[in-house]
Amino acid sequence: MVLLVTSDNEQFQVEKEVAERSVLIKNMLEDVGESDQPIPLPNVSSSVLKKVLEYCEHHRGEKLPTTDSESQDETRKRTTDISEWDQKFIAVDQEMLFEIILAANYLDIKSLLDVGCKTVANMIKGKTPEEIRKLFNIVNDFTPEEEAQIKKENEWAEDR
Amino acid sequence: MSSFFVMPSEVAEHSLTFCHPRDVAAFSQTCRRAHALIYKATDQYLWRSLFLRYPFDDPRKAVGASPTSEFDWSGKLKRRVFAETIARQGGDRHELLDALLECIEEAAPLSLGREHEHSHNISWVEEILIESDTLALEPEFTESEKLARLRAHLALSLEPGVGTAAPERVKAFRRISRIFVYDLRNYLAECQWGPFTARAEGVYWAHVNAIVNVITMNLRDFGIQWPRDFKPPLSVYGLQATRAYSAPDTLKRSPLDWAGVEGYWMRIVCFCDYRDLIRFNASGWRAGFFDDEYEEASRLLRLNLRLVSVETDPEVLAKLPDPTRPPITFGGTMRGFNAEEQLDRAVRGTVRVMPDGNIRWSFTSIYDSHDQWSSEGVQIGGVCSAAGVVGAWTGAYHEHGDPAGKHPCRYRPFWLFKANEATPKASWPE
Repeated sequence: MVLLVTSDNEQFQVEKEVAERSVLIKNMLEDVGESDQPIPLPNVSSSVLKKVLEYCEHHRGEKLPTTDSESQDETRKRTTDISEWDQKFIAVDQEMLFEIILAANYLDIKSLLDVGCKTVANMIKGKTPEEIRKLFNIVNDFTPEEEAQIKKENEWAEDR
Repeated sequence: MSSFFVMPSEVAEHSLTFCHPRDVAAFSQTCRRAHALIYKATDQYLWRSLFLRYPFDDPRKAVGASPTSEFDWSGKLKRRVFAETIARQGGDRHELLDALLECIEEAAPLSLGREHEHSHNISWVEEILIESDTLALEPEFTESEKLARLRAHLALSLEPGVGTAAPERVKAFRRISRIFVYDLRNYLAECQWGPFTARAEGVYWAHVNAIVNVITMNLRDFGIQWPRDFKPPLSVYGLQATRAYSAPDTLKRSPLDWAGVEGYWMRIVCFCDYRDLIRFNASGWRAGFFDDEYEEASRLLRLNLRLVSVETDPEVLAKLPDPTRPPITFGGTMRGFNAEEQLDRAVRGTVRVMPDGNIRWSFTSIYDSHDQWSSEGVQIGGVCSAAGVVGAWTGAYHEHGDPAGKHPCRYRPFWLFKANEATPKASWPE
């Protein structure tokens, strides 16, 4: 078992196999060797770690993606397909979604990062700039001149 | 602050790599920070990922790509996305044709162990052509060479139809192509008797396309009587056959043989009755001369070619358009399939890169140690493509047929392609 400590000082007892879905934790455990020392995760809160561990638990035992560029090449086709379980898992409010993405990035859990990023991509899909602003609460800070120029710059993507 | 920007820029970019480029363009118009993220990044990660995920073949792996060259990933991708819009909704067709031709040219070459991977580029081009009316539009004069070049790479593979039952458009292509191919004024000493521009500096695609159309439509008339393995792969498999190294056995060729000369080849030659040829040329090249019922003859020949030598003279190499592809001299034998054509003829020729970068094949077949016929053709698609070589076979003593010496007395379109590996080898010439 591995003991994880969150930013809000909550402790999580986790099976090694589950915790090691995180490449960060895996590397830490390899560095310290066999030890009962708790692992501090100052960038992750307990509510987010709970979600992340739920994901790791579900996907325990699955093959970790390799960083081999050739194999990435094979699967590079643009797809935002997400498995059914992952879709339900990631159906959270926007704040939690970005928290999960940040945690996955920090903990180095590539498959979870991709699930989060694909979800963001799916949210953007087919929307106009104004709709995207509304979606993410983005303030339009362009001057009218800039806006006209940027519209022109993006004419290649116009689908009249 | 918007929740989106709690993500560090590399993670935000990673999210955007899963988007369609059009969505990325929409996102870039939301605010300054979004715009900077997309258009002012210090590296190419986002655009390279968007390009490869579209998906397109990796242009860094294309034949002739320099491993050190910097690619304008965003420019390339924007041009292709915009080409889709032009195909669907109209616009500058030069931009569309340029994008399609570039895509075919940069299609992934076949490589050992990956012989069966299909090319994303080719799928993209085919999809556009199937879903738009690009091939049906009447080209403007300035577009016609580009469209002819595109068509030559397709060999009517997206336009079915046989003989008089073919759609009117296909029949019209056949008529126009025959008039071009059998007009002796299109065989010029100035163009070195081939489907080339003046001084053979480049390929004349309208001529190549006409030859491809004439042979393809002829073979369609034969139906299943003309076995599939004896058909030019381009007319069977379409664009995929234009990929570099798609010809049988070329991945195992010897290192000197950059053009994939060595091995067994098939050659189809078409011709109309000699009297018709004379009448057509003497009667003012009437548009209606070859009606839809008209039939030509087609002959299949087998060749066995081997490399004789490769140019090594540094002075010659220094002047070449591509020093990595020095001229190859080859020799071999040619034999017909019919009983009366069983006599083996010696063949001798060269392969070299033309000033415009295309690959030119020139060879003569020899009877009794006299040059009889000369063949001038161009490789369709990438180097060592299954599509093979298309060109004109003309009487070698060109001046005999024409008092002015400008035109050949005999000329026939030909198509040369590497024989399918599965073809029985027993009957090949030595």
